[in-house]
Amino acid sequence: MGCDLLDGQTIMQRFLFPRWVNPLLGVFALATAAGVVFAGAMGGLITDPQTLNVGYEPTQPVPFSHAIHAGQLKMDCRYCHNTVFDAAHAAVPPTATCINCHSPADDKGNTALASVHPDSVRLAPIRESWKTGRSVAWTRVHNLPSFVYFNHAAHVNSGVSCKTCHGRIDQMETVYQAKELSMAWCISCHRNPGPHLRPKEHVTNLEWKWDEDGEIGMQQEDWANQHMLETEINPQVNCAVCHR
Amino acid sequence: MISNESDSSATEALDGSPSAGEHSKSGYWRSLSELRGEAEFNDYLDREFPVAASEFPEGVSRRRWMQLMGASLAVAGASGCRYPKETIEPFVIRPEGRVPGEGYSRATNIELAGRVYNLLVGCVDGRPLKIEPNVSHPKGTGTDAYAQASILQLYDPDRARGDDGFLLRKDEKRRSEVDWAEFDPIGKAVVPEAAGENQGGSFAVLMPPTSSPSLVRMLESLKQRLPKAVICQYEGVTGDVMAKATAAVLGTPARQVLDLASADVIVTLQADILGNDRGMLANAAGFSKRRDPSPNAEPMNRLYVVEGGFTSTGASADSRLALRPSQMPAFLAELGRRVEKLSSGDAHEHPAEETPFNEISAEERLERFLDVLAHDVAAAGDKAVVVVGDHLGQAAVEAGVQMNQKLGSFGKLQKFVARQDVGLSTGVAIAELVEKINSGEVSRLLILGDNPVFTAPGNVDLAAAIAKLEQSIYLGEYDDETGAICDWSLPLAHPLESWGDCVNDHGYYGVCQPQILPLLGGRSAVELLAVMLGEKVVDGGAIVRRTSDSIGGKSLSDREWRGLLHDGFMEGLTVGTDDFSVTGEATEINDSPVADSKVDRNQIEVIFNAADGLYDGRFANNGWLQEMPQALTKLAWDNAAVMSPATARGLSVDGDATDSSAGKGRVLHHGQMVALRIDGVKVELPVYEMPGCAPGVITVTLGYGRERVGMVGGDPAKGVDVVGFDVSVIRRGEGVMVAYGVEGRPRYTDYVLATTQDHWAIDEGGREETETRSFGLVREGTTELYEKEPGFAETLGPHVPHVGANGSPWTEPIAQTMKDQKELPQWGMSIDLGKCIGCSACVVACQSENNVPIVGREQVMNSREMHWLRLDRYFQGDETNAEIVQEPVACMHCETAPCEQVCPVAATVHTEEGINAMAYNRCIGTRYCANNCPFKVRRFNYFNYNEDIGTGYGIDAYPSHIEDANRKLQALVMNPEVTVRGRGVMEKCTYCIQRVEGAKISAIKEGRSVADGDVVTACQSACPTKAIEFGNISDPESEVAKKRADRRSYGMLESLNLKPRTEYLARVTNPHKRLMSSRQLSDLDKQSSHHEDHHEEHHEEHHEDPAGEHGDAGDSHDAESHAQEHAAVEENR
Repeated sequence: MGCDLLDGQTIMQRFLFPRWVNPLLGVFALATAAGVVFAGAMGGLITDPQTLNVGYEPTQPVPFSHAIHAGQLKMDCRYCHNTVFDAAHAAVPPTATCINCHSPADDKGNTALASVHPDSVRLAPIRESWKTGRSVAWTRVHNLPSFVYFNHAAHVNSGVSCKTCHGRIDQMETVYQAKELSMAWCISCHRNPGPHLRPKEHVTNLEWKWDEDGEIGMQQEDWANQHMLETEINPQVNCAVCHR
Repeated sequence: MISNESDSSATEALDGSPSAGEHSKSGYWRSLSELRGEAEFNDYLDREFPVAASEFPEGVSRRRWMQLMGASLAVAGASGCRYPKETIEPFVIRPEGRVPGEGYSRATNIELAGRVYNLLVGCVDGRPLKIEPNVSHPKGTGTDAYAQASILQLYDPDRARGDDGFLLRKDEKRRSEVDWAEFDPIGKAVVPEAAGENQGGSFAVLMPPTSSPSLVRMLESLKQRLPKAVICQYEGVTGDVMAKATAAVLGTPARQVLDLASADVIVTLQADILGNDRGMLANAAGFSKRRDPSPNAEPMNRLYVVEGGFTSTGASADSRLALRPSQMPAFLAELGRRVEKLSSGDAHEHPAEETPFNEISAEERLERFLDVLAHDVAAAGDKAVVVVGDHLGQAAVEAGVQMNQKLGSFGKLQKFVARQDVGLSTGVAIAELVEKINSGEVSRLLILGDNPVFTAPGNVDLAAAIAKLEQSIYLGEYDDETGAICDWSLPLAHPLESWGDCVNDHGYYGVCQPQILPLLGGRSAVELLAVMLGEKVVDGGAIVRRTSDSIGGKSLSDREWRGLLHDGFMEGLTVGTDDFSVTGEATEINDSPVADSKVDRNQIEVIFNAADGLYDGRFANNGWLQEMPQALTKLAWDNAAVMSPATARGLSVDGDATDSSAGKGRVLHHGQMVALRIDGVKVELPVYEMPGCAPGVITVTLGYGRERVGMVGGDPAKGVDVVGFDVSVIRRGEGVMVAYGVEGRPRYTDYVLATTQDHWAIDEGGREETETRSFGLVREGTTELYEKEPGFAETLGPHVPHVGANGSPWTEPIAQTMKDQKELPQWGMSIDLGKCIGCSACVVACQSENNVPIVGREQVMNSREMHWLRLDRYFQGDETNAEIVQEPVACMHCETAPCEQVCPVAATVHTEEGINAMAYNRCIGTRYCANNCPFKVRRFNYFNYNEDIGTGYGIDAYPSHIEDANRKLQALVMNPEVTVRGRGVMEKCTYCIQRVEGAKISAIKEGRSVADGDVVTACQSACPTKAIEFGNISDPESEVAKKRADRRSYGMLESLNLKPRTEYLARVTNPHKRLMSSRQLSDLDKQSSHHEDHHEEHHEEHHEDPAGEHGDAGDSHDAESHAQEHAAVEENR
């Protein structure tokens, strides 16, 4: 390498790096490689479902507390999400379900004796909806892409608890996304569903824990294997199971 | 280019030497250009993609395209990483029993284009999505393309009259958008005002025939109020010829109902009983019941078709004769005379050896056809039925009824049922109505639908008459040609959004219940009349309930009423069908029919048919029907003058010469314009050369060329091109379905027809090779051949070596899965080619179920149509005497799928259950799979056809109908169970994977396994002839497994070791031996020469010993391969 300048010539001169740059080449190469690795890692980490989606906790029009309703009061999930065993969607309850307990005052200003918090400011959107007939616009928390066809009924009927995908909803003041809900995450369970299964009657009981000596009297693993054989649970991992 | 002469010699060559390895051009061919080896067809084959497939859309330069692409990418990048925020808006009070997001069906009964359908409507979240036949209806029919596509029309935004009001009112200066509130007082005043004018003599109603008792009840009370009012019933296509004929011969207007399931011999004269006929669905179901050649099924019927053009019925015929319509009355009379002679014991000799039917002259053909037909009809006696089409006019239809009376099939095979609207019509034809308006006698007109201004015959100027009226009110689905010139253009509610009722051909009363509130403010005709009559009850539901009470003879309890709505019918709630007797004698016609092969270009006979998709033009704004390739011609977005090549040549000769062989001058051919002239008016339209049409006969379709339809069907005022050509100007009179003495003149200007005919051709080099080894992709034989060798589909096919347990030296992954996981269902399909009549109901049903986009005319011309299921049509024979075989082709779900092996991203892979699945979101659009698919069933989204409904990704760069066809309201038609694909994605038949998974999930919920019949694919459910069977092939008891075990079953291109999951049952036709073509005879010979020594034992072997444990090592290789294959099948189970 050199930097010979040809004096007096008008042709465009070639630019050459000075010799002292040479030892730095290794440093440049290292820095570039590190940069690529860093960018890749950051890109991976940032777009990882763990970063992007877990913990998503939007504000809802009514600060409904699952911790109070499902946790303290021990209301079954199905009191509100009553289509979960029959349908793809575990439907968000209609306003009428809220009004069952939180009924507002009638035209004469009388409230039912059993009515809970009939005047609460926080419940105003519910009363508004009941009065006007317009829906309450809840924000969707667990949102799958539109090309994914998840079916609640298929899962809960097989003995997958709500907890498996939604976490301890009964302890959440505001619902947030507890699990990744990514394809890899789905497939890990489809490949090995055993540990996530429980008797169907306990699916909505989020507190329930496996008790070997208790009612069932066998190890979870043994029970799961037997259950899968009996009820022909054979989750597949091909594309068409979820993508149609 | 191969001339006609060498063509026929090739046919002979095939007859002479059936040796394998010899390929002849007279095998199957898909179009004339293929037969002649024209450059146009070779273009399709030589290019990897059809011309322009790799080019940018018209009007967008490459540079602009890249700019737009860049912009859309930038926008996509900026919109963030999380999915967009979504809200969930639940009901305030959820209706009882409603499960959000889950589908449910509701029964209904609707009348479309004169046909009555008993349906189940699949809905999700209150939105009707899919039409299915009501299978529990005792006399229900299947569905056809009209019924399947009606769902799209419901969501057609062009039904809207405007943004500010649902109605349009015309005054001197302009048309204004108003509400029903403005019309109601005016509407209510019409009847009292008219009553003061000569007892309603100034008032007229123009309406189509109807099957609705409620509408009839309303009109009868109108007649009571206005005794002298004119009620003119006008049917735009047939002119209700049947009503006039039955009125004359039976004494009262009636509808024809055929019982084809009991008929042994069916003869049709220009009657498209399996195509355009209004009883087509019932006919198809009855006909197909007798098309199973297996020994334990009922014996096959025999269908003789005499017709001028080529129809679906002709394609299904056992023997077909092309004859000019003008000769048909004489043909019928001659047939009657011959049958009478034969029945009275007359006998004559037939030569023992005859030339095959397709090699004799036209005169000989006619003579032999008549002779054989007369023998068959005479032998069948009261099991033979003659059906004369409306085309031939009242006298011929009457003669047909009288002939059946003589045969004894009248009242049994050919039945008649009283019409609901008997006595309604005041016997005024549309031409008389126009006269009455012109003379000032009628000054107020109420038009109940069907756009009569467009459908009126060319010599009836209804538009000018309407302009003279004092008051004109039009109730129509669209603001069309009629609506535009009436004082009031009122929106007619779609049958899926309104109350109504109808009586089907078997007398079952059915209620049409709304599935959704009127989307665009429409009212039904019944509701409008109730308002105009000032009735107390104006609610559609209440009116219909009152009608059902009167039909039931008592007030229906709430429970009974709900039952009627739920089931769609009620046992006992029927309208009595009367017994009729024939009066009068047929007019004597002493002429004999003449088979004239000369073409006189001043004496052309033009047959008018309702368009396959558009009917009389009423479905012109329905993109599915516009794009549905029409039966046989495979034209989409176009109509043409369909004629035989000989007719085209005959038209092109100058002067009076009629010598069709004259080669001088220019010769008119496919794709050039021709002018048809009668009474000084003319229409110009392109020529479509179709083999097998009678010489001198041109078939044209009605319903095209409308100028005020919408963003799909054409509206020059809004810059949307007109689709096709309006031929109604040369219809000179009501119900004219054949125009005689038309002058045809060539125009030689070129026109590009949008046709799917040569598209997706399996490449010719490969085809030639396969044809030498198999007999075509489509296999057929005759009953005689089937009796000789039930496995002809296999033995005449290629020798497919079956090695080892899996049929090949390798163990495919799916074979391993089938061994390891025996409990898994293995899905497969069987399509019976003997039953398929090519009605296209499956094509539209698939489009509706699977969100298949509409691509528009320009893209169809680029071979980019998206239908997952296509109907291939193969001709057989030569230009003048052709037969047609049709074959539905969709993804075969090959076990060793070639597409999967070339996908670089594994976007198309097999499921454990044998379905070749597509993961759209994984596809990167290399199109390798489509290239490697030997069946050409994969479809690529070149554009984002669904952009306007807010799905997918892409740019607004495509200047044609498509973005308009799929506007916002039409987003509602999308099936939520199926992904809406975006640009750059490959797609294809998935065996309705959403239905398969749905059935599996239902089974999980109920704690059972999937049973046979749980999964019904969209095409299977739509098929009126039950030609398609789907299910678990690893369960030997399933229907589909039984069909696949049939000896007729074969896989297309089996010799490539593809192991297709869709198999076909070879078509077996039942022609008389004297009417067999040379090919049919040679197949028969081939079979006997090949198997003379073996076929007897063969026969037994397969009946008694299906496992094939015969030790006869000296048997032919075919038998050996049979045995091995059967063993393999056993093992697989």
